[in-house]
Parts: sequence; C-alpha cells; structure tokens
Amino acid sequence: MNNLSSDSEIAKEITSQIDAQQTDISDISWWDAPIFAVFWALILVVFLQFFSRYVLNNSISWTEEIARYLLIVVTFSGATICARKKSHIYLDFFHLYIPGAASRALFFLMDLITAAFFAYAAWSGVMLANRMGHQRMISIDVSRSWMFWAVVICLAITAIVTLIRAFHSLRRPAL
Amino acid sequence: MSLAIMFVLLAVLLICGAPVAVALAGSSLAYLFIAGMPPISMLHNMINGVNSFPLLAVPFFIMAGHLMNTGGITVRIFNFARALVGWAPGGLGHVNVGASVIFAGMSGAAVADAGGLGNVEIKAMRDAGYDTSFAVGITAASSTIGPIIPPSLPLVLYGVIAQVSIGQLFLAGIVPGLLMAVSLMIMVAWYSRRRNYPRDLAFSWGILGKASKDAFLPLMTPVIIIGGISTGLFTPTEAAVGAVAYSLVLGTVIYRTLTIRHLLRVTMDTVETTAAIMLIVGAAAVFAWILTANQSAQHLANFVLGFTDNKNLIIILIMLLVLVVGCFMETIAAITILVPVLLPVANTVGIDPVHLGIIVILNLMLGLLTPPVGMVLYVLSRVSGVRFEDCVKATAPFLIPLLIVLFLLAFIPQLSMALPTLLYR
Repeated sequence: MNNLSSDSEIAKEITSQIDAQQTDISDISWWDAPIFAVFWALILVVFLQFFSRYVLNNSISWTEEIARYLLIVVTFSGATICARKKSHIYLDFFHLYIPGAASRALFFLMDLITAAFFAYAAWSGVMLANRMGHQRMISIDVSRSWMFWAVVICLAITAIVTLIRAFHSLRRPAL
Repeated sequence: MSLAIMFVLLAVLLICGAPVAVALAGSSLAYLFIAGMPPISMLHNMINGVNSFPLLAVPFFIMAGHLMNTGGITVRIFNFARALVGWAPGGLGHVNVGASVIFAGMSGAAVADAGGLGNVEIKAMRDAGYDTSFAVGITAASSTIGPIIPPSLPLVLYGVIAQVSIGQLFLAGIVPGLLMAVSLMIMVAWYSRRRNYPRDLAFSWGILGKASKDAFLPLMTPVIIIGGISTGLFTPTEAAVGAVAYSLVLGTVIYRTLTIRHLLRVTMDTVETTAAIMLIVGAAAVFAWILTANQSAQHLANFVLGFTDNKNLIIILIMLLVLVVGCFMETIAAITILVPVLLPVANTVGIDPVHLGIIVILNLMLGLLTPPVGMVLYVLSRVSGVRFEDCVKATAPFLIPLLIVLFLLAFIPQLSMALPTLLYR
C-alpha cells in the first residue's frame, strides 16, 4: 500500500512536469522588456512602501500615488500581450453551437470591432493627455502626462496587434 | 432609449465573443455618443476605474499564486495533506480536499488551483486505483474552495466594486470555505463506504512530523496572509506584497528552485492575467458610471420591490440570477456586471453587503463546474485527458454538497458574518 520508492518516482515526475511548464519562455521576446520593467518597478515601489512603513516607521508619501499610476500602465501594457496571445477574457459558448466557418467569420468581425475600439480609445487618449497632462501629481511634483502618453502608446499598439492577429487567424484557421 | 441600445449592444457583443472589456466599454461608448455626452469620458472613467490602491492586491495575489505553483511546493503540500487525513477510508479523496484548503490559503483563483495541484491529485488517485471520474469530480469540486478561503481575487474585486472592506470579506470567507471542505469530505466518506475505497497511509506521528517539517515554510504563507489581515496588522494589499516577497525568498534562498526563466514566465503570466482582469474592471467602471448616472440600479430595485420585499425570497431570486449568469459568464466579468445592479436591491431589504459577497462568489464558483463555460472543467479535462462531457458528468454529483452549503450560508448569515463582526465591528 505504501510503496515509498514508486511514490518518490511519481513525485519526481510530477515535479518536473509542472516545472517544465513553468520554465517554458518561448512566447516571451525582447519586445516585452519595457512591460516587465514597469511591472517590476510596481513591485519595488509597493515593497518600498511596505518597507518604509513597517521597518523605517515612516512611510514614503509618494509611493501610493506612483504605485496606482504604474498599475494603470501595467494594465494597458498588458493589453498588448492579451491582444498578441488572444488571451482577453471572452465568452465562447455561442461559438460551440454554430458551424466552424460562421464562428471564424464572427470572431474576425469581433477582432475588427476590438481593433476599432482600441484605436478610438488611443485617439481619445491623445485628447485626454492634452487636456489633463498639465496637471501635477498630488504627492510629488511630477507631471501626470507620462502616464497618459504611456496609455496612449499601449492602446495604439494593442489596436495594431489586434488587427494583424485578426488577419493572421483568418488566413490560418486551423488553430 | 439610449440605455436600451447600450444593453442590447452589450448582450450582442458578449454573445458574439468580443472581449468582455470591449463589450462593456464599447457599448458604454455607444451610449455616450447617442446621449450626446463627451465620448472622451469613456477612457477617463476606464483609467479612473483602475486607479485604486486596493486593486493593487490583484497582481500581487496572482503573482504569489504563480510563484507557489512550483512542483516542489505542490508535492510538499500534497504529502502533508496525505499524512494528515490519508488514513481514512477513501484517503486520497480526503487528501484532495485538504490540499485544496491549504492551497486556497496561498492563491486566489480556482482555475489556477485546478491546473497545478489538480494535476498531482488526479495522477495520485489514478495510480492508487480510484476510478477517474471520482478523481476528476472531487478535484473539480474542491478547487472551488480556493476563492472562498482568503486570499481571493473574486473577493478583492467584489470589495472594490461594492465598496466593502476586503479584510471583512476575507474573514467572512473562512468559515464558509471550511464548511465546503467538510461537506465534500462527507461526500467522499459516503462514496468510500459504498465503493470500498482503500485507505492511503496508516496514520503515524512520524510520517506526519516529517511531512509537516517539509511543508512548514510553504504552510506559513496562509498563516502570514490570513493572520496578518485578521489581526489588522496588514491591509490586503500589503499581505499580497508580503506573500510575493515571502515566496521569492522561499524560491531563491531556501529551496533555490527559482531560475531567471521561471521568474520571466511568472512575470509574463502575472501581467497577462492582471491585464485581462483589470481591463474588465476599468470597462465595468464606465458601465457602472452610466448606470449610476441614470439611477438604473435604483429603478431595478424599486421594480423588484414592487413584487416583493421578502428578504428570503429576494435572496433566492438573486441566487437564481447569479447561478444562471455564472453558467455562461466568466467569474470576474459576472462580478463586475452583476454587483452594481444587485447591490441596491440587497441594501434596501437589509442584506449585508459582506454576506451578499460570499453568496455571490460561491454561486459563481458553482458556475465554474457547469457547462457551457465551466472553466475548471476545461482545465481539468486538459490536465487529465478526460473528455469534457465526462468531466461534466463526473463533477455533477459533487454539486449537491456544495449546493447544500450554499443554502445554509444564504439563510444563516451568522456563518459568514460571525468572524468579521467579532474582529471588525
């Protein structure tokens, strides 16, 4: 019942299986470097706040605001990854009941709508940046415009990538 | 009129398979155009919706979950659960539930739990001679404990949207999560007696001692998170950062299994999942802003109250609605769309928003176990190689104990409210 040698074999097999999955980085490229930098900056800033509050007993005032802005940038820069890997959250139950060709056509149409949406969002981001960009942050004397422009760039890239991927998956349907 | 167009457009886009975020923000944008309001406020509200300090808990809990989801830690926790409850008849079934409870205290998402730990659990049960349908069923059912026991991503999002203390929500989830575990263990015991399932290891203090020693450091994660939040030492966001820092230390200094490759993978997955969730949160903020400006939710509340103001009846109606929506819609999307609409109704009849949160999330978890959009079933089907239809059938009986718990929780609010009342109010 308690065969220890086979147990540890299984444990080893499962461990390597999970870890192989966890170390496959074939879908990551140098293009992702800025996104990773922003994300790790977010981790550092929030950790700095944690550290200054609990260890130094004197929390740094600007960390909270910067962290919120970095979260915004992480969100919209991650949208480019979602567009590239088609990992947006969507509902697909309707597609289970319609023929393959119809489903593909419908997904293509949705991709076009998605691209149009992000393109429009990028354009309104430019207006927003022009209108709000001159405001300064509350806790530290830095302009807020960098956050708006980062969002604009991410939205534009998302729109372009969505469009490219739309035609890509139309041409090569067997996924 | 423009509101009606917005709702129809939202429904059409969702059904046709547009990203949920685009469906929400896009239909809101159409409303702004038709109603002659400045369309620029779409993006403005979307950015403001993400601009929140409590929401920072989202990426960090996701990251901590990914960092903990390594082969070494998963196997340690599984072995600990084995030494603890494996001696009972149907031992591995109980181990399955126990390991899910422990993992629930470290990561915040049911689907992730099913993917990592579920793999180990199903393999171990198959090798020990359990039939696959039982293994899949109990693994699927027990993975839904994850988002009820803190930390929990759905509860963080509920707290932000409903403007309820996330700390209170976390505390309110502890007893319900344990109740779910107990109900599933009763089910396992019943099956084991009927089908004569084997015991796993005989209980021995020696084995338990060794397993606890091996699993001690990972086991400290839930202690730090839940302990820190319930004593008021940490805010949920700080607990999330603490969990990330702790698992980074475990991976680099203690176990030395964390490689650069692994770290890149975790970063990528975290950013991807965070963005997918936060885009919906931002888009839902635009949608909710329009609903609030039109007092739509209040109108709906008055409409419902025109029929009945019986609290229990309204709870049942809410549960039915969430259950049906949960069968078709992904959890995060369902929370962001339903909660702003349901909250005013619940408030008027005196349902505590914390209590409502637990009921809504548990309802949505059951949706993960039912077709057509049962995410947990998809993941388990992929991990185990069992056909999706068979996963559905295998999991169906385990819905019964979970439904019983759901009803107990719905009509005995003290079960979820006792802890937060004791520590916060």
